[in-house]
Amino acid sequence: MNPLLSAVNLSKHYDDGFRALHRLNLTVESGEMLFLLGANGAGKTTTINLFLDFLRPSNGAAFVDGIEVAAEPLRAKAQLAYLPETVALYESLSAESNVRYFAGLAGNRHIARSAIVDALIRTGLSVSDVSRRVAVFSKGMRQKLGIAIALLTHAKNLILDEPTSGLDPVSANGLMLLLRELRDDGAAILLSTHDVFRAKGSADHVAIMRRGEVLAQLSREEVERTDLEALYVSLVASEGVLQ
Amino acid sequence: MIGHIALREVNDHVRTFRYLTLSLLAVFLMALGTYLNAKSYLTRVDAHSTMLREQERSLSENTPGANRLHGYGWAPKEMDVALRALRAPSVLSVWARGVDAALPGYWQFTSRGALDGPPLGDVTSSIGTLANIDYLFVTQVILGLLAVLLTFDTISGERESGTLRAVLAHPVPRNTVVIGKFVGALLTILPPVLLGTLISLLVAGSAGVAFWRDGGLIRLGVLTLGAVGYLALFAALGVSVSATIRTAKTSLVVTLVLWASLVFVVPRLAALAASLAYPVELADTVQRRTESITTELDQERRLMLADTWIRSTGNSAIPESNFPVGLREAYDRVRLPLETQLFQKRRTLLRASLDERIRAEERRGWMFAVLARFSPAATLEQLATQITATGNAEARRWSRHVEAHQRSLESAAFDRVFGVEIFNPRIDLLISWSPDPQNPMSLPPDIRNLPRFRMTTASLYEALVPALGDLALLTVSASILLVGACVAFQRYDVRSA
Repeated sequence: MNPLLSAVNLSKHYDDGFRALHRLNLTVESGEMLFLLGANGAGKTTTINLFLDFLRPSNGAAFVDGIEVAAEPLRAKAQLAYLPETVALYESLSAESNVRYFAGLAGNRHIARSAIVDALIRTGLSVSDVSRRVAVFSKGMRQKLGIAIALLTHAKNLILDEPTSGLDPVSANGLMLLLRELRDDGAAILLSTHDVFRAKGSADHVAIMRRGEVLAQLSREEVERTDLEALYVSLVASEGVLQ
Repeated sequence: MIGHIALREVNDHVRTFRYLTLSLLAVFLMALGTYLNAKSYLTRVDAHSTMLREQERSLSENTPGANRLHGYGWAPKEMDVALRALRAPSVLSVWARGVDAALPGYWQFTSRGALDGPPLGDVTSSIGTLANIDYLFVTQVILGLLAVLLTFDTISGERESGTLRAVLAHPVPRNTVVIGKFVGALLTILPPVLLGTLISLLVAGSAGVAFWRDGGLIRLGVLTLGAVGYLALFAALGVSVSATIRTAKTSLVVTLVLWASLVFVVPRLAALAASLAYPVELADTVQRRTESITTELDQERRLMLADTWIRSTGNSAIPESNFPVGLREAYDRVRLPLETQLFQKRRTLLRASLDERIRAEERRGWMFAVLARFSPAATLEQLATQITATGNAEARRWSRHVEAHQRSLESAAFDRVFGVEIFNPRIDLLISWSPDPQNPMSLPPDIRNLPRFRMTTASLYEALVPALGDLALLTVSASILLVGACVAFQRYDVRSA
């Protein structure tokens, strides 16, 4: 199986000496879900920013489908879908217009309305939501719409930044179910979170980060064998980083 | 992809309060300004037609001798209606007033030079500041403001809302985003421009303004293109600021300060700098100097006449009723070359006195025109007044033609003496003898035989060349700003605060 998302010695150092990320190595293959666990400032979002070309690496490289992000950002991003903690949408537009716009940016400009309806229903939204303005959407509905957009762009790789943060448990569970479905369809998913509980339930791999470095990487089997919460607290809280 | 982004921008802009309010205001003011200016123009046309009829009546006068010049040369009576250059108002002043209403309605040709007549009758005094509202003003201020208000937060605002991050997570080049946003803003501004133009044409047409003559439609087309170029520049400015600054609030302040400076401050600073660099004498000062020169030369001539009489006639007594032909011929043989010399001296002194002021005015005008090009609003004004023949260039064109005609009249009539004048110094009296009616050569010319003043509207080509230059300047400036926005956006940190 080819790694779809990978980082090789990926580092981000700032001029003032701050090391946001140091020698990160990770691999997410097709049909896998990797959870980046860590407290605020651990380097999770920096990692995502480097995969999205929002930051330039100081050393090392991030790869999407074997394409180096810093060298060919547009080709790399064509293989990606990204969901931030709060999905940003154009408030004055309807769900359908938002879907059409973002899918259009990914090169999919001619989508049948039925395909949009199917994608929304698959993510748990209703048919009546299609023409509603997104200004009235809850955070959970926005996450679902974000996933629907990702589905319609046919991206094989999904990067999510704190997707369950601020969601009620039912919505969070619904989202995780959806992500597991996508993984089972062959997607490679990289997900940053504080949520150790959900990592334990869904992750194929877990990387625990602190101060820009990965302290531990665990496989599915290791996650199942380990008391992940205790390990996380011991690693992250050992230097008083836990907030 | 640019079209895809641009269309979403249009879709977003057209729902905003700022767009709807300013667009409607612009279209309304364009219609109102056109109506008021059409009224003003038609009033001035009436005044011009009245003067034209008066002049034609004067020239068709058939009483013997009525059309002969009288009192020219050194004499004071010189206000013949027939000797006027009449200026018709520019029809396109309905769209860009410029200096059209302030220019003289006629110039009076006199032996002292061409004198400015008063402006044509105008209704603007009764409508106060509304008189300043024209198509040009609405474009400069209202639509210019709309252009920057549509674009100031196009990037910084999206960074704050997070949508910029969502957009750039897709495979979209950053330049495409900038250009798409610019094109979107420009497409959004086009409807009020085009609608305002169309309504102004309808209003002017229904008021009876024949704007389509002499390439009027082409000129108005170029004016509309200039307006679009001007708005493109401010849209590019807003995008540039937005691509440089991280918050929408700061973008708004910076954009508004830049807009106000470029529209209101820079032209005034340009005028101030030009007036400091090239001070121009007050018209009263020049007038006093002219009178002083004339008085001195009058005195010099009187002495010359007295001296010439004595030298040429051997100190004969000055005739009181009978003027022997022999004596007259002897006097004229000496006097006429001296009169010619004195005319030349007078022209030289008067022109030197005026030239300094004219040169200073030209240099000041040139410096202002150069400095004011740093203001897009002033550049659009130059373009508009050139294409509508209502600007300083048109005023200078009239001055040049009037001056050329004045010179032709000077050699044909003004700088010649008709009849005889003798100065008696003992009683300080200038005695005038009428021209000899038996000698047609000595008679003053018939006004109808003098060169007639002819002035044509500046040709379309003459107006187009400088106007297209200004259009190019606006377009190039907009392009530079857009390139600047693209460069700045490459380094723009899209991460939310």
